[in-house]
Amino acid sequence: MTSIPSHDDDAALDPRLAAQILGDGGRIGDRLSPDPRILFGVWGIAWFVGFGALWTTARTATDVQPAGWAFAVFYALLATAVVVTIVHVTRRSRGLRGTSATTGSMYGWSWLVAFTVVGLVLGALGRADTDPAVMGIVSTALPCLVVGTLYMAGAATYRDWSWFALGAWIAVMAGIGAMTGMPSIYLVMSVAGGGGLLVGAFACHVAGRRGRGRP
Amino acid sequence: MTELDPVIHAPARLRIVVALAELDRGDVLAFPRLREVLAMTAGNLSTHLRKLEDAGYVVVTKTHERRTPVTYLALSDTGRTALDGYRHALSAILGGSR
Repeated sequence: MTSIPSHDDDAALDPRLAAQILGDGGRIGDRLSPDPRILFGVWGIAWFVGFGALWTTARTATDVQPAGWAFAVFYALLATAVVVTIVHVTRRSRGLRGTSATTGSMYGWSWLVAFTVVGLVLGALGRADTDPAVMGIVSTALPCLVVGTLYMAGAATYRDWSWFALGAWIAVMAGIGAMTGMPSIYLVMSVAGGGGLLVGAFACHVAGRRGRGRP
Repeated sequence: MTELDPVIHAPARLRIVVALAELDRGDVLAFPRLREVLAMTAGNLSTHLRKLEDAGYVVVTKTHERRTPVTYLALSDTGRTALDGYRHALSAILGGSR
């Protein structure tokens, strides 16, 4: 397995090889933390395509409501992104215990709690016969605001300004989307929200993943 | 000529110390995961970890999770300081040889 035979381990080490081993540290560190390109990428695609499907079907419908299949696509993409996120983060943090595991699990639980409450609020609005136009705005802007806020909170925890900027951008776009109303809010969240996430993934790729965020 | 710390100045031990230095302070890494990350055999890794533990560079914590024994590893403050010193000494040597 190892490129270094055990009988050589105590032999004199070439300083240049030693410098190379020291330089490999960052790559090892990356293997022990989530890859932001994967997380931003999978969510970016889900938002871009999912909200895009909601927008294209809603804008041509007489009642300005998205088609059933568009919701099916949207929720399937979100479910996929949730599974990819959980599997990826779990795999990368395998064997790690201590402070960052505690921080990570508290952060993970905050997503679950926040989205359970979002679900409860939307359910209550649905039962209260809320106007479909209002429902469309709230059911889109509210979860997007929560995502933006939790990104900013995560960025504050891990002291990552680019992740913070992405969270602030998503939160602001949720507000702007709400002001544009139905069905334009879907277009805003697809292009600006999903697009913002994809730009974030690309920026992390360009930055070589150093100074990484840990979504 | 600057002296290089002989405890760290061996390929396997240098790789172990460099890997553990990537953990945040307050974090520990399980033995099997370190083995996987470094692609070393269990026996080889154990041998070098013992030398690092004897020097006070690595803290070894043995515990049980669901009745299975698990060994967690972390770099001690002494180990971090030693790695910093090694980095400086090495760059002095490489800088001087040019």
